[in-house]
Amino acid sequence: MKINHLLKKIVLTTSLLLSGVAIASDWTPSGPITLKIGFGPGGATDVIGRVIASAIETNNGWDVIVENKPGGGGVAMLSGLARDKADGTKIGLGVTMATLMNIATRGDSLPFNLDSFDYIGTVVTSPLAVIARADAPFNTFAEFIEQSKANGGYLVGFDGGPQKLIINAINADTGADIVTVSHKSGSEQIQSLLGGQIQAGFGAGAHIEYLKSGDLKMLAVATNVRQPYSPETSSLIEQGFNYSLNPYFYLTAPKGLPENVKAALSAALEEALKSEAVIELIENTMKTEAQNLGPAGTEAELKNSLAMMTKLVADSK
Amino acid sequence: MTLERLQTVILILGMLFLYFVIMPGQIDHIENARIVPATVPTISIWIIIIAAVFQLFSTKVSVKFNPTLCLRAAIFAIFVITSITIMTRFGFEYGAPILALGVMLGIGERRLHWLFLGSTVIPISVWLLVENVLDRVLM
Amino acid sequence: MTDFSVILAGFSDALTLTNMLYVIAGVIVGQFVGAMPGIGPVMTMAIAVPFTFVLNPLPAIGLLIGINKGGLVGGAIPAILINTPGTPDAAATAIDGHPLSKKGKPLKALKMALYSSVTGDTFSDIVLITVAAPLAVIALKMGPVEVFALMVFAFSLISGLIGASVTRGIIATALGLLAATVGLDPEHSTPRFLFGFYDLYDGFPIAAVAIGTLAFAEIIRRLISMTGEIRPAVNFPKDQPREDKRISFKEYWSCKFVLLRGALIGTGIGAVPGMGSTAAAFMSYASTKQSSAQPEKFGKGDIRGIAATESANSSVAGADMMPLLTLGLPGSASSAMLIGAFLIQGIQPGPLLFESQGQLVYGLFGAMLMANLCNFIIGLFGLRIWAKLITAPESLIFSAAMVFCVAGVYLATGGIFGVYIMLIFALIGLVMTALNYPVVVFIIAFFLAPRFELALGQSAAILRGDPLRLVNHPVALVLFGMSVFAVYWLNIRKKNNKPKQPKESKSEPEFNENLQPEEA
Repeated sequence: MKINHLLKKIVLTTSLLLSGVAIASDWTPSGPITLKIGFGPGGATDVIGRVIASAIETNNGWDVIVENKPGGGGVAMLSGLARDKADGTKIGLGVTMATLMNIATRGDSLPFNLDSFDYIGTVVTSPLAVIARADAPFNTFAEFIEQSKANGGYLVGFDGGPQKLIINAINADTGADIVTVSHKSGSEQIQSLLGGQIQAGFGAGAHIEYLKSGDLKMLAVATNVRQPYSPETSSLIEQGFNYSLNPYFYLTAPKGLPENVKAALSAALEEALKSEAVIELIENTMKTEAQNLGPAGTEAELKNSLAMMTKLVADSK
Repeated sequence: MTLERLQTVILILGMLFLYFVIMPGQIDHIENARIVPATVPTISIWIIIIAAVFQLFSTKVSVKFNPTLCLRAAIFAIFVITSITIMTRFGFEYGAPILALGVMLGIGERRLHWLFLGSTVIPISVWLLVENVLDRVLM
Repeated sequence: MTDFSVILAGFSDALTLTNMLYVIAGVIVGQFVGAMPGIGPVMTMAIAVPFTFVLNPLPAIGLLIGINKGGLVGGAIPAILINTPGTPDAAATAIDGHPLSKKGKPLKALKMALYSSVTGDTFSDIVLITVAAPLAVIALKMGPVEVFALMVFAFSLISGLIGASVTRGIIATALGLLAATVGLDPEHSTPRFLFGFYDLYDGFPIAAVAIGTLAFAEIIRRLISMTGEIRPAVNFPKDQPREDKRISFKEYWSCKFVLLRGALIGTGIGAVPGMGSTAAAFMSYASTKQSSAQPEKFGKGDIRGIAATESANSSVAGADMMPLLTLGLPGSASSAMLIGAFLIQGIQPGPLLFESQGQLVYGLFGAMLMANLCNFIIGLFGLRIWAKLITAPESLIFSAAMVFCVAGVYLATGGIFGVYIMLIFALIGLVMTALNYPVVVFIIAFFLAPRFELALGQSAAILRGDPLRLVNHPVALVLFGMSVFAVYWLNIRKKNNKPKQPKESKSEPEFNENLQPEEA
């Protein structure tokens, strides 16, 4: 037992007892809870995980230890988590996209699949959209496709396998001859757009500021529903391309979590997402609001997304 | 054959093995793409092979082999790996002092106060700082 | 153009006591961790980022910038004193710094490093402050094709400049490229060379590779060659004449062109995302040596060698902020941490930043200049302490350094896996050194490789596989031409230099000479 965790526990328990506030829950963890983050230290996901952990510590009086397990956008973290004990003391924070793509393309070589986990809830979804320069001669993705065909294939940026899949699937369906150009981040795609190196790209939040400044515009949202900051922009599905990507940040645990533990953890997450620090942080980093689908909703969302990903993989060939 | 030639030959054989035996199983084969996952590995391996073949015939660099140093290096390596295994089993606070103590004794340090400082005070301070002040996990 | 009142308001924001305290704290921590082999400023920043969320933007960024800049000074300390760079970019500083230290003049070497570092850093900060905005416009025109050409140029310079022979330089470069292909490929996101280890999805962790090859390998190498009596890590006479402990203004001024060249190289390289300070330090060192009238003096404790590397690697830090602030692109691992800190504050670096947050940007510039001053003053005091500490026995210094490496890599990579990777790369570093392959070339190529591969894929897409389309990219064509010329020119220089150094002509060890095992 580590000294300061013991201390923290004593302080928290006494303060809860003294103030007479007891959180209604029939479960308390047997030891400290380990929250494994599927990304390296210092990035936005790391900080979101740590702030949620400290909100849970304050709200529930549990001791939450944060560990970084970077690798493949969550694949390394999940392959470790799948082997952990399902007693609620090991949970993970991941992002859906990279994991689902790996399950869809090389599921047989991974030590886990969607059924290896129980789902606690989602934190936020990133507002993924297809963007272009404000002065571009097209306003929707459908128009973009038409002009790409007429001009011998436009260049589209991407910064992750799933984004490339969606373009390749649309290429296969429409014969648009789009050429994909790999990037490291959404910000980098914005630079390529502004510099005129590519004609369209994907934005995952960083683009919102540029919509306001009038440098960029949105051709379509890539998520399956419209997004609150730009309700007039229709989705790819609405424009006749039957594909979507919903990058959710979600909390998960090894399969076999007892129902009461799952309920307690889920309630703890819900409560943490209401804390001021978490709200501010998510607004700052993701330019959007926290969104918790709950245990059943998360599982359904992941299953749907995996079906979509499998379809994308098949259609992009 | 000089040691210089020998190491160059080993390098060439190693790269050929990597290219023909290991690479096919470790890199996805993708069609209809200009740059495939194997592009950069293939370029790198062939650059090494060509440069090494050139080196084999033109080399003037002499390399010396020192068996004592190699033996000492091997002993150190085994010891370091053992103490890191101890760290993963029992925790940094047990493995690190063993690592430090072994290294100090290994190079001939016998003065007790230095041994104590190096093998106890420093590793335990690191552990306390990381685990209890910074609240990060160490092993 | 930003309003002058905004600039003034920004600078006066920076000059509050709170900010100053955070910057000072950052610099102290940065110098300290920079001087610890295996820990370093990048990991420290990663740990500090979550804590900065509760701070206001200016002190938050000021603290991180302090750590980063402190680390630039700190990294040179162990490089000079024990030939083990605290940060990768100080690897070149060891070439002349350590011999000077072994001659019994560690304080002289440390001071030259400090002065050069602060000089280079201030130079690039001033460039950043005065011309960042117009440079951003040019940088926006630097597309993937141009970046790819620039990478080719960098590789041709590095593999030709450093190493016992051209073939060894080329082999080390290609090995670095090859090692960097482990993990997901940037075009198709397929895993490569994983061998079933999912921890390798993002490739070999940079911290583990750099610390393994540069620091841990050196520690092991020193340990195995130690026999007999334990000595202090550095020995220097008690009643040393004053000129051996300091750098006179005359000595400093005699390096003015070296410093300027280093600062220019560092600023240029820092302005391009993904090139990095290690490459800058070596390019500056090599070009200083190449253009010197007495190249044989280098590697034996010449203060010009220290001036060249430290001015270059430190000036990268200021220049790194250009792509960060103007384009939102991180040029290095430490600026990636800064981007993270900006984002959690709700500030997005990029072309809009100067308009929307002008006051903050100039506050930040104020904090940077303040950090340089703190670096200088704290450095002057700190160096004395380090010079005292280093008189502890070698057994203590190196065992402690090993413990720091293990703990540092564990924290930076998130697990024991990274520690084993570090051990493997320490072994690779040892073997390469023993066989006379330049380890630094390997590591620089490893650092540059991801950007290289990305730019290759991007260029192929943009040119649609047709090299003839290159005519639309004149800048890239010029850079390709310069690469060919560089290889040719460097070979000529190498041949011309040979007769001057009859002793070394057999193997011409250059950079390897001080990486060879020392006699005990």
